[in-house]
Amino acid sequence: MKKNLHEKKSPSLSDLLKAPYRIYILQHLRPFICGLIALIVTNCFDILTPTLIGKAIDQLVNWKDFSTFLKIILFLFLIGLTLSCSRFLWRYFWGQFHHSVAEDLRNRLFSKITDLSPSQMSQKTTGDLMSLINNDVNSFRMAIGPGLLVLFDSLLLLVLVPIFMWKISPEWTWRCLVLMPMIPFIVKSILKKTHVAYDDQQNTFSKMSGLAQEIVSGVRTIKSYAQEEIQTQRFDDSSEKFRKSCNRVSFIDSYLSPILELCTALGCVILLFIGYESLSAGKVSLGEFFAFYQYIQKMVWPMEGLGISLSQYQMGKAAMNRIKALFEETNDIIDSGTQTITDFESLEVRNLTFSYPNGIHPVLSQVSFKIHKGETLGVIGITGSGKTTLVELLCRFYPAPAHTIFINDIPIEEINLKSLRSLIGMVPQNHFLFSKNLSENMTYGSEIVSANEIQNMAQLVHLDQEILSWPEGFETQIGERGINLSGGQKQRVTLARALLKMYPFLIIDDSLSAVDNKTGLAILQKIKALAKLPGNKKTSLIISHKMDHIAWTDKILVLNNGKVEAFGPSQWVLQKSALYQELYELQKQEAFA
Amino acid sequence: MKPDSTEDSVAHELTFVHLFKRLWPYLRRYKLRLLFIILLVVSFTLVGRSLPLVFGYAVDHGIKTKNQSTLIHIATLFLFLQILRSTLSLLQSFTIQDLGHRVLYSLRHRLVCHILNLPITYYDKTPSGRIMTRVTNDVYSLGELFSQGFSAIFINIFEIITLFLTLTYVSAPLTAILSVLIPPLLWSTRQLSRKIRIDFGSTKRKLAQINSFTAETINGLKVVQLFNQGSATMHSFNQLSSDYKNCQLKTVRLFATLWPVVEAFNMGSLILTITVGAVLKNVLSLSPGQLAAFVLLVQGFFRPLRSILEKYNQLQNSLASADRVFQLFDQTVEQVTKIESIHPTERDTKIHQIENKSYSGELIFQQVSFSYTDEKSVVIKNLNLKIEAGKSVALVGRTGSGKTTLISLVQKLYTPQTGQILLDGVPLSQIETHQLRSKIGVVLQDNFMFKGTVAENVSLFNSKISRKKIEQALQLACCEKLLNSHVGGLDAKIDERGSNLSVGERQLIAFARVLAFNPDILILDEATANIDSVHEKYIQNAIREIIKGRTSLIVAHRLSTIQYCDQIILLNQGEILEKGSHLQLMQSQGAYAELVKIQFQDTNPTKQALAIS
Repeated sequence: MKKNLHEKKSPSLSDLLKAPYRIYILQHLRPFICGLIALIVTNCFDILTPTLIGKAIDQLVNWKDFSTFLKIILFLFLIGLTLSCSRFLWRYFWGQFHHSVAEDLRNRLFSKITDLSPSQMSQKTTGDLMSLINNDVNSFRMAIGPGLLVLFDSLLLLVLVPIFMWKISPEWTWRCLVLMPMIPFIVKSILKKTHVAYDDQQNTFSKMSGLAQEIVSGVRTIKSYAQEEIQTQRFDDSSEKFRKSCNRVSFIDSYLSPILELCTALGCVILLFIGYESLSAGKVSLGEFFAFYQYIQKMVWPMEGLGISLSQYQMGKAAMNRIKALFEETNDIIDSGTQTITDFESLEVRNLTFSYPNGIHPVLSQVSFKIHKGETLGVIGITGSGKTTLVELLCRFYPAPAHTIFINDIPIEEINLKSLRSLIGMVPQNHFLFSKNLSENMTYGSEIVSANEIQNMAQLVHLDQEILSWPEGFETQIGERGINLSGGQKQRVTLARALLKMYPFLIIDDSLSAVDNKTGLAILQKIKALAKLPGNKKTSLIISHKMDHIAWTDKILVLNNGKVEAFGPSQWVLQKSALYQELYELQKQEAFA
Repeated sequence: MKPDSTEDSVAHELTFVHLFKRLWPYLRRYKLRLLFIILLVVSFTLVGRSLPLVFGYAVDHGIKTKNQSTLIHIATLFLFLQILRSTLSLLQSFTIQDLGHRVLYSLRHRLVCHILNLPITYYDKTPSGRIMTRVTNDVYSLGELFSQGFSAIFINIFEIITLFLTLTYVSAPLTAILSVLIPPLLWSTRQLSRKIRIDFGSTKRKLAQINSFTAETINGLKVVQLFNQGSATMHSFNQLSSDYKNCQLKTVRLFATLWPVVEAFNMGSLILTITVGAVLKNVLSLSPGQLAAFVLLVQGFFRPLRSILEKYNQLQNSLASADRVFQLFDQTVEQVTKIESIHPTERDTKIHQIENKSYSGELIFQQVSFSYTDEKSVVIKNLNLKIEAGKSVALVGRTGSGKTTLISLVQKLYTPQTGQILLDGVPLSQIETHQLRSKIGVVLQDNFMFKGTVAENVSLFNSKISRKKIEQALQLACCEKLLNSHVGGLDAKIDERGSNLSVGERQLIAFARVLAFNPDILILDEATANIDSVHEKYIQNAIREIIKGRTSLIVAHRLSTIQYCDQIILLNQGEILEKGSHLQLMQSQGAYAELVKIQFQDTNPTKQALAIS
């Protein structure tokens, strides 16, 4: 962060998207120019070598004097020295240039991703975003870095080499180079085919990966039904398709360089056929003939390079378009609120009707209720009745229509997002933990927390005994690289994580479903006690499909198909709501263990 | 691609020689191809070496002696050789890669067979993502190692040797003098090589860190936003990103250092050749053509050398991938008949050989004790139990009382340490595992769905299960409502892991699956725990349909499910506390009755609330 202050101010995103090449070159002008100079020096010196070798050969054939010979050797030595430096330098500077570009683009993308709203996220997969930050950033880096470099290199050589050839023999030059202009087109068309084949390879690979993933995650089912052979067969089929697509890539890959070599070789063959006259007439010396032969060979690279840089440019352009598409997406949650709230007084929902951007039917219709500081609200309803949607609107994960949700009588969209979210804590239905250790997970997003507080919180969520039994206790690593917690344990950690923040308003979205009933109830009782502490009253909203979990709350909201069926104290709701009665009757038979 | 950073840092023991030994069994099958490839490589290299010699010959015998017809002949030969060289180059490159892909195909096949034969205990302790990466990404890296690494290094070494021999052929004394340059060249490349390898490793690790951090942030984005941690997360990412860049820059610098070395030796050898050629002109008696050929050959040295250096180091890191693949192969498999020994073509016939014998379903547990290997506590203690054929049994007890373990033992997912389980009087250990499992149907709390259609998920892609049977099964499992709500009926698409279905719908399909396979024994493990009360009605009907006349083991939380069972077994810490029917147990006023009372009546505040009103 500090470093950024010293660097030149970073260009605005909109400028960057309009002309990424220009902006990035201007931003990193120094390494760009230095690299370019080193490249020019390299080419100018490298081009002299064949002529000098030719001269040396002439010297050997017709020895004149030692000083001429010494001069040639000295020249070669100097060229070697310069090339050593310049070849090092252009790689050094250019590397700095394009890797810095990639870093900048990567950081901007990541920043954009962390701002995406849930509805934007729902249209993307993790794989898509990962590929954007990895592959597309890399493709653009390759285009602006090596791609641009190869282009400059090729253009420079395409001018320089023929000049030196012309100096030896103008007639030879055009005759031997007649086939060369074909090369960039051949290279480009082959690379185009490569891309098609390569895409196909990627597709078959991801299909095969998908199957492998299914086999591994579904291994219990497969084993239970003894279906190993059939699954192996399915995998083999897909694996065979992948093999074939690999072979297509290999085939195209295999004929590119032989074709290019043949094109140059034909130049050399032409030279051998036509060289005799000028040589025997004494117009061209033996050494010059040798130099010419080497120059023909030097023409392959720039031709090939043109094709490569063209194709890299195209790939970079496609990548940049995908990156742009993400940057240009508009967020449906606009953080334009100016009001800051510091404490929770009341929550009012007034005539709230909401449907998801792609949904046809409203998920919530005409929902109204109000709760005050210190109260506990229980929300119940069957799957799909809109409970989770309601609380996600309260946290502004989705945009509620204007003037439908009020906190402290301020419309939610006028409240600064950060202050809203530091006031409202939610324990989501899907428990998510980071692959950090347990105490880092519990204190995630908190200011300084003492070990004692963490301990107390673990006790509150009935996790302390389990934690003590782990050898590393609170330092235990969680996730892929650590221990795998059970669903119930994860839920209790996420609960503790939110409780540690001491939110004035806490939402618990069915977050105890995998905890056994008795423990779940005990935890809720403790949360209740915590919320009723005099002088520090807390408000909570509890969603559950278990009757016991909400029956004790101050008020109950029964949601049925997005509509409020009843709202009020428990007894009142039991009399008013048919659904609540039904749920109660059903659960009476079920509540067990 | 999602590499695993911790494992990358583990020092790998595998060397190229060791790797070759492990790959040899796969290669051996393609002996003829291998021989053909070697022939191609040899002839390609020889043609390549002959070209500078031909050019030198042209200089000496065509140009210098001013013999036009000879020059034309040589030019024709030159053309022919060039065409031959290009053709050989194409063939060589393609056949090598083709062989590589074939080897990888067999490797993947073996690996999938292997992982399907791994015991369930392995899956208990290994995250699925890790296993999956082995089959796909690591095998892919292994492929690069094979097709780009082995062959490239082999070809390049061969090229260097032949270049050296050709140089000696053109002028042995000159070659001997040039050899002075070899020791310092080898020394400096070795030095660089080591540094580059270390650097590649750390760059790869940094990339893995970025990837796992990004993936985690994306998956937990809601949490990040809820806790206002956007800028803190961004800060951590910037740190990782700049670390990664610095690592890459270090690699760039190291590779850039390679160039002065290459350049120095390139120019050095040229200067040396020319100087020695001039000074010892009379002693060596080199013709201009020979000198030209010599210069051309010397310049050919550095490309293969550089290629070896680059490839060797890049591939050192792929060795870690290969190592992980072979480590997975080294995991011991379950004691079942191994499918891997069956060649794909024979497999179809083999499937039918699984006996179609059916069991009455009588289960007897004789003094069964079991504990998970790495835990001290015994999960099942000296358990004796007889379950009559066709009867349904409910297993009841607190978490950790051993209900699920007991069921896993019946499926032979684990083997008891002492005692035995008999099915129709035959010990489970004597029944072939696949055959046993094909006779047991299981419905779990959340059932795995494959990407495909409803029908495919019911039949599990088994073509022996007819469409009619699938339809019947779905009907019996009360799936009409489900089929009506999804477009396509039987062929309605199911997304990855069944994400477009609700838990309840997945459950119904799992019931249909069980019915389609018509097992002799049925296991329901908390099959109704995750379903809300309204959806449960359908499922209760399905359950009643399924357990008819079938030996059923049911682990359940809900009284409504348990009541239907012929027998209830109350487990406590791996021992049977009570058994009998619901009525019997309630009348006996024992632990079961107590449990029902406590769990259901006393802690239900709604009930209290109702009492008040």
